[in-house]
Amino acid sequence: MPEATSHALTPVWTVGQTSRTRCTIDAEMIERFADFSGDDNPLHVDAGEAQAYGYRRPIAHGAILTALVSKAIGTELPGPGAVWMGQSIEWVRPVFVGDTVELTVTVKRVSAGAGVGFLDLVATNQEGHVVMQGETRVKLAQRVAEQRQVGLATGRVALVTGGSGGIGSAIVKRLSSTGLRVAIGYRKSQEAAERAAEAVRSAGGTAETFETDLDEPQAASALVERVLHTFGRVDVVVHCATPPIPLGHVRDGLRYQDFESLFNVYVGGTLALVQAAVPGMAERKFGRLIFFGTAAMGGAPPAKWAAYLTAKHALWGLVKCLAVELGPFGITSNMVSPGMTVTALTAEVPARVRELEAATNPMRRLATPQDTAGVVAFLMSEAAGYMNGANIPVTGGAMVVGRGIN
Amino acid sequence: MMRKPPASQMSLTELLGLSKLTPASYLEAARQIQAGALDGLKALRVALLATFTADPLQPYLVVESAVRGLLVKPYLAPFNQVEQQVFDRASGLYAFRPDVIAIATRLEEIAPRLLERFLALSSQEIEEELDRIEGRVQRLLEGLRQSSLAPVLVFNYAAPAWLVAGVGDASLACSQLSVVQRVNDRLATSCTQFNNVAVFDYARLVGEYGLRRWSDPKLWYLARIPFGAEAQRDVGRALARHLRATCFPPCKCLVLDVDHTLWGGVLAEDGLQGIALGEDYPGNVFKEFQRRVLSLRDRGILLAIASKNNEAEVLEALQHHRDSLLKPEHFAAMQIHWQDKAVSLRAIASALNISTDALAFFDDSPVERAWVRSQMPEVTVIDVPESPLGFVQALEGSGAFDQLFLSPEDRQRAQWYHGDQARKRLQTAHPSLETFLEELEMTVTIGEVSGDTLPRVAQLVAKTNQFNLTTRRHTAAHLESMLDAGAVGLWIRVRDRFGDHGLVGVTMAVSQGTDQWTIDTFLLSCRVIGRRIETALLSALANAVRIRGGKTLVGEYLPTPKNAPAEAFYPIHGFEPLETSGRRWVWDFAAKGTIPMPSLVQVESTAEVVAT
Amino acid sequence: MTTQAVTQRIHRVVAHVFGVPLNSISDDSNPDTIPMWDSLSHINLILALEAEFGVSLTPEDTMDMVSVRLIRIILSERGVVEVPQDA
Repeated sequence: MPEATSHALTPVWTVGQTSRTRCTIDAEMIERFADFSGDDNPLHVDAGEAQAYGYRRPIAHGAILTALVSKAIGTELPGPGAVWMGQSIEWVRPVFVGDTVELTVTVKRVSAGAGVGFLDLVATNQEGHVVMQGETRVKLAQRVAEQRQVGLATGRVALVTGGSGGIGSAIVKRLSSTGLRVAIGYRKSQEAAERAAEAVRSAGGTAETFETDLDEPQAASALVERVLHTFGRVDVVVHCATPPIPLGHVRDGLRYQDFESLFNVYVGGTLALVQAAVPGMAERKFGRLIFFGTAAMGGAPPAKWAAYLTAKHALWGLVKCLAVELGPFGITSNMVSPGMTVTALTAEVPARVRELEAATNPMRRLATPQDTAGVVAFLMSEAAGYMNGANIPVTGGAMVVGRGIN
Repeated sequence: MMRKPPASQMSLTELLGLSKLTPASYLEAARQIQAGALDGLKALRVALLATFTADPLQPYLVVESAVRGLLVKPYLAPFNQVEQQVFDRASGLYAFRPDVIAIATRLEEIAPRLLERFLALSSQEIEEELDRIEGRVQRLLEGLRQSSLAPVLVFNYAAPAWLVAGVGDASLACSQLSVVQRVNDRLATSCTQFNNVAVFDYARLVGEYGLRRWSDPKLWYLARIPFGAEAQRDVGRALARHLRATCFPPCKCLVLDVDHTLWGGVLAEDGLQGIALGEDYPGNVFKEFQRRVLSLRDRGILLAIASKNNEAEVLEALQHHRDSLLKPEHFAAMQIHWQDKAVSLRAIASALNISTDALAFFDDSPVERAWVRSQMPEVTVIDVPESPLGFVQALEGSGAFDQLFLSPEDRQRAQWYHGDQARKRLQTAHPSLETFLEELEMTVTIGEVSGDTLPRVAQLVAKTNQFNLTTRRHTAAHLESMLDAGAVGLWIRVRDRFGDHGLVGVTMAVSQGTDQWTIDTFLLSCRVIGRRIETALLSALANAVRIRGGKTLVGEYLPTPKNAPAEAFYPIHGFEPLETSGRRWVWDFAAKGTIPMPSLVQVESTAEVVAT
Repeated sequence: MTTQAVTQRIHRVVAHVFGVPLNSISDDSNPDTIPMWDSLSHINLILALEAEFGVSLTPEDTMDMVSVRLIRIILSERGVVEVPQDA
């Protein structure tokens, strides 16, 4: 029996994929088929009659060969879920009782969007003569509410850019606690990155740090390469990195350069990361891409945030496109938009402003990094397997909050 | 009957043990008061309808009222629902059954055109606005009176915070300020047309505090509250004083110490020359205080002295110190001796025939004040500050003499009491009635009853009980018709050394068309009985009758439970009995001649009534 | 002379204004935890704080003081700070 090329995961069609089956057609098989089908044409069952028609021995029903095709399609290529759509077949030579037939099914062409494969069929007898040939069209039906075994397969790897930051390191910690090995990308905060890695290791997990400046043109692809080199795979990318954020009013103070580095890291970085990581994910039919927006994307934006917000909106557009493009490969792309979070970044915000945000938030507090990490971890899980192209606010219920009492 | 609680400004510390008069402590105190922390307070249900947010006034109103003996239960109508509450008989206002109703509106809400747009208005439009406001107020008061008899306080209008014409306003033919004043004048007039409706002089309050500081802009813009924290306290306090004035009468008598009150220094030690009273400091401070005290007297408040001193020296100081504005005759009573002040106060009350709870006590000594408070808690002990610079404010701010409606009789009262006291003194000093009467130097005026005297005559006819021979309660109309039918009507008015008693006696005599005249009415105010006044009136009547051809004069006595003093009137004057019942007497002119005018009485008559 | 800590004084004012026990007040106290704390009684609170600390609060301060912690932060902006104890 040829090796099934299917994995524990959903079978995949690739052009050139083949399946071989060998089978000896004996008298009992022919008799049973005659019984079953009602086709007791003496050609098939009576030696004498067969000879009367000029055949040395009784010949097998042609349908028996198609049954072999049915078995090959239904159990091996593509296997479970196959629906025979159509075919054209020629029986080239008769198959006599006692012949051994070898059927080869080869994937000729695949229409991925439609989930339909075109297969070549060749059946030869023990002398190597072709007894049947043709081609067949097969559709692969999807199981309703298919349980895909995503999640905690050990060995999966997550790349967290900006993993040295407040939110990034919380994500690192959370993902590693679900069994993922973590690659921590950082730009300048080597100490913080090392600390995050140490925390993972001392909890029994695996983590490595990778220095990179995603503002540089080749940095993102180089990063993925290094991660692949170290871990052998990337299954999850959490793009948390951010360059310094220039604040300023459009009418004075902002220049295009201010937008540029944000675009480079958010949009350019995404593009490069995705292009580098997705092939492997697609092969394995599993990928998780998580990007960061901001609560300020809803409602009225705060003053001086034009550059930041524009870049985030651009990234959001890209995320939606990724969701559509990569979804068929089992890769989900989502955005997480936290509200004001208690981190080093927000430590600069005046206490009064922070307190007011907290006091007027429906949950009566600011977000913590763990709040966001929790949502990211959710997106890893089975339960979030159908979530794709979403922008999830982690804001406690507020977008941009108004002021006042009661 | 509940004794009136004293109006003294008890400090909040005493009241509730709180250490500071802050907004927070007012809130806390109000809470405790409403939970019943104090007893002996008179409960009062007070409704406040306002066109602005008046809620912050509540704690100040409750606390300041408690200090003045009232437990106020407030009802604040929903914001800007004045007309709705007044005209709906089923409204929360009437369901609350208020004892006092306060209406608070502002020009900003009811007549904004008179403010920012003032200069754009023609004089015609201004008059229309005034009429409109007046009409609105009148309708409100009418509406209130249809459903409630409770006393009403109506806020008047403060001067605008900003005058549209700026510094040029005063030069305008019709200045904005004068228009606001006219609004207030009309408001005051409207209030007099209803029973028990008084103006709450909000304008005065704002002026006293200071227009600039009155409002706190953030409170207005955030919550439509037109006054800041201190202003709220002032309004609460003023309202509390008004509320008290609706429940309790003012003190009738101010009892003063003399040393360090009417003058600086101690008379017994410093002598007449040494006390501070004059045009220079500190004497001028005390002189100013005397001036204020004197003005209180014009309001009808009696003055008295309670001093531990030598009486002769005090009298001399008052009489002869050239800067003393207060003279002995200004005081209706004096208790100058070395006994304690509670004794003095009781004696003063008794001499003036008033209750001790009508006394207000002003003494610079905290010891004396504490003593009186402990001995006589019903007396209003005024909180006198250490420095005499604050005396006038203490007097004004005490609220002891707060009275919402002042009548002319009130204003006269002090005069009358004074005269009466003097008469009493004279009486005790002269045992002989004759001498007494002589010393009185009485002058009477007798006149015929006619149009202008008729009201007072009718009032006497209606009121007089004791010295009233027949107690016939003729109405003014009936008296007039009697006169038209030929009756003789005379009145008598008395003046003596000490004052003018006014019109005190009336008599009417009718003939049945014959020469026999009957005295239909003869009465005299009990104040002047026993001084031969009645004889004078009788004499004048007899003469008037004789001139008209009367030959006999018949007097009747119709007994009532009250007129026993008049029973022997006719026989004493020599009338003969007409019948055995003792009810009818007769004077025969032919037999007896005239009834002589008493010699002790000087008659100035306005009619030909004196016997020639 | 002992000056009561600023925090203690704030708690006392809050307790008096809303009529709640002093020991129930903490930095977290806000209109959620004190039912009497509504927009009208909030005005009383502002006036009481002004009187207690002798400061003048702006409308923004008024709107922002929505928790005891915020009261403390804003008062410190207005110069009302804890006086450090002597060693």
